[in-house]
Amino acid sequence: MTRTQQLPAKATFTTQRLPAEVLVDALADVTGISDEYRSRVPEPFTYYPAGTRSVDLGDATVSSSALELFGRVSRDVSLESQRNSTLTARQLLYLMNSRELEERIRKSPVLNELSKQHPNIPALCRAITLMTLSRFPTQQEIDVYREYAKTNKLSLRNLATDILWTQINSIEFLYNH
Amino acid sequence: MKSTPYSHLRIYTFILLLSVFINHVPAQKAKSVILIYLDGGPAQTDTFDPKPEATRDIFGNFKEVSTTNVPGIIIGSKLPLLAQQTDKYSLIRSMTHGVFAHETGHYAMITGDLSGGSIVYPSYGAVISYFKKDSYTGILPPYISLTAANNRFNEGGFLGNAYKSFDTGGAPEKSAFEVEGIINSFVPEDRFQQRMQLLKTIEKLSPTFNNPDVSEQVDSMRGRNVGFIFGESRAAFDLSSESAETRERYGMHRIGQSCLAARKLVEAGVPFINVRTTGWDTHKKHFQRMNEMLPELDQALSALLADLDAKGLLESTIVLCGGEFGRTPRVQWEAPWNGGRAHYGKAFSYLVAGGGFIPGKVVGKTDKTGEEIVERKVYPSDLIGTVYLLMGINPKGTLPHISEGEIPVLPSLGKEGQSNGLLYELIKTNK
Repeated sequence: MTRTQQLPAKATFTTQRLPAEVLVDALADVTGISDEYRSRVPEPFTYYPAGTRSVDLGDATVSSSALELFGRVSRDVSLESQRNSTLTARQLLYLMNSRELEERIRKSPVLNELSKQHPNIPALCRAITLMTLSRFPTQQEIDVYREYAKTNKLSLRNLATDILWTQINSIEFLYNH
Repeated sequence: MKSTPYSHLRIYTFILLLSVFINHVPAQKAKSVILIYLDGGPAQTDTFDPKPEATRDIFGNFKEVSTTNVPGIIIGSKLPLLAQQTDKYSLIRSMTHGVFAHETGHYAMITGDLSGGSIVYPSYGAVISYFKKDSYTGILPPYISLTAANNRFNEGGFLGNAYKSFDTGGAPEKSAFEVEGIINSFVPEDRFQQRMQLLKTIEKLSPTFNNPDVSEQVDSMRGRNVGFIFGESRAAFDLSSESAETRERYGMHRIGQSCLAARKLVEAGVPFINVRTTGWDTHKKHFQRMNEMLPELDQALSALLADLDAKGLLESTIVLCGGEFGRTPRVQWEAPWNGGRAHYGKAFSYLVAGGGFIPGKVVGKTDKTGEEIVERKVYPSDLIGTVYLLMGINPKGTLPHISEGEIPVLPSLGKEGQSNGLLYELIKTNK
């Protein structure tokens, strides 16, 4: 059904990007490495314990470039309507080619563990897809990943890196649907 | 005067000419701004406003000064290279805002707003990007910070996050300058392209997500990003394309290579570049720290001015150097400071060059201890307003606010105690 057909039955749902905090926490979950949060306003500075989830941050004095990038409203602009949850090229640039994110994927304790537990490509694909997209991969998808690993002669751990990179860059991950 | 049918016309003509004269705005000279931001607050008495005739309580360990290539102007002894470039810049020795805390000091010096109102103003980098959004067509972001903007207040202000600075991250002084999102040495180009291909294939196979509109939009942004990552933007940040001699002239340290990168970004047309260096908050070990930091600043800034001039870019590039405030002219010899200087927002200095600023002049004057301004106070809104003017932005114009409608670009400009007039004495007018 197209959206126009759905409208009379009010059976419509607008696809939307995950809100900043949810997305940032999701990235922390799938990589197993979270941002460090601290507040520099006012002095003395406040440091949040490692592993703090961004949805739990008390207020927006906590500076976080990732949260700001994905549209969290600054503490001094009080209008929630200024929250911006549209996907921008700058955000995609971060997901595609950020050294910081790449480092987290490479060092990911989650991926280290998964690639040890699942010593073959289909099992590894299933584990990562289940974690990232909350569903099992299709046979077609597994075939694509297997072919990719073969062509580029990737070890399981390096394949895990590229699978996770691909999935967190996918629209399926970034959007509620 | 006997009234004739045409006398009112003469009056109208006179008023018209007068208003043209009053509103005379010099033609836009500047295309880019480089702000060398000395975060923490540099000591004006050890840099641009030395007091060799005072006592050791004021000049501390730096009694010596540098005589410059402009007769009558002296600067700090630790800036001998800048002293040879004084014919390229002017000094404001009477900056003031009366703010003595970092966060509010930054806010004053980076937004020009001293009004104390409830509205959070954007940084001037953000304002300039806002006004240049249509005319600037470069691939790079319009407002770039090397390597990160100050995060003590909201840089985008009411204009929003879209106008905030693009922070490069990374370290330009290292052999590979990693730029966040653009230059990532972890992922070579072939691996990146393989991944992009994989993403394209995998995304089409998604059993749960199928929204052609979103896909098309995302694909187009990704395509632009790939161009951005491997196109001109990469070249603009590639310091290895500069000769070893040039790189060493700027100095192989953070501020030196940041200044070199700033020059390359000016060549790429970027309207606002913020070179931010930290560590100027020298409450303790002040003189030791200055002995280390000032030679680096001296080398970097003098190389930048000479290089911009040699390339014919100084005429169209404003260079500013200063911090959120200055430091107490009176040295704190007592414990726990043991020879330190505290925050001082009452009187401090800024260097201005290029882009239409007249060089070789000094504006304003402090008394013999440097504690009080005795001539021509300059407020943040006066300096930033002058920068706007040179960038072709009306400093008395307005900006759109989401709930307040059109509000002044510089709310403090023209207000008693928050402004003392634009720096017309430092601007070349077209005559």
